[in-house]
Amino acid sequence: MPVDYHGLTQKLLNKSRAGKVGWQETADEATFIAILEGRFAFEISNKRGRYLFAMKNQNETEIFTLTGEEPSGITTIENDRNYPMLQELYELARRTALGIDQAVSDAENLLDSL
Amino acid sequence: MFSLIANIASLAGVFLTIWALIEATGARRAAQEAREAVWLGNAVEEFKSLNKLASEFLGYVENNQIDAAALRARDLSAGILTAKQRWRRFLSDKRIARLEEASAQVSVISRTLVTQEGPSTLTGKQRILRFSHEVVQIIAEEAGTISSENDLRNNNAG
Repeated sequence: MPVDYHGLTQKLLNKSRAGKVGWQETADEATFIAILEGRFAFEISNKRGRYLFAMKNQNETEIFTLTGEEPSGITTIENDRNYPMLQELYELARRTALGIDQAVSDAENLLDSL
Repeated sequence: MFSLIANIASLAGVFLTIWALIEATGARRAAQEAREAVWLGNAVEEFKSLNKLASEFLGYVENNQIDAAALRARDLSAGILTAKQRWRRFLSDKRIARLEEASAQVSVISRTLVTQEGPSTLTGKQRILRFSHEVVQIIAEEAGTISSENDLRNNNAG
């Protein structure tokens, strides 16, 4: 039976939606990481519209990777399945790591006080 | 009379056995504590080396020596991994997670340095520097913490 990487990534997406995953910025502004209890590391990047997602164990060994680029006539079914999930995961990682919601709320409050 | 002597001897035997057991347990504990002290001392040395490596790495990044920085980044990444696994007994889950974070950050820095052949813009360089500083800070804190734990243990033992 094949390993359900998609299911695991979907679970990470759900936990990220709930704000339970501590995504962090990195030296590359289009890459975000999350460390799970010091045991697993997740990394998501956006390279010119192509999303790359990787899970590593505590030895820094890649357990699996998923990629997704915008579906077109030549992309695979797997790619087309991954793309929306990775796109949302990337946006959530970015929002969490950069504290975008808080920043927007703070800016709105400042503007209201003018 | 003979029975009384035999009973006393038997009781004495029991006491001697208990005493020997207590002594043996104490000796075992002392030996274990001595081993732990040696291991902690080794951990302190390894974290000191890691701290030195991290400082060298930062120096290369600051001086834009991309190849040397990338090489040091790989050494640092491997060093963090080894230290984290080897000295897990002295590190809390939170500290393991911090080292894991440092390792993941070094990995991204290393890739960014190699793929871009160094940051092309000032903002890019500042960003790499900022995260390199964060890594160095994590390593320095861990080295400091384990060193002070060792000092505390030595003081208590002395």
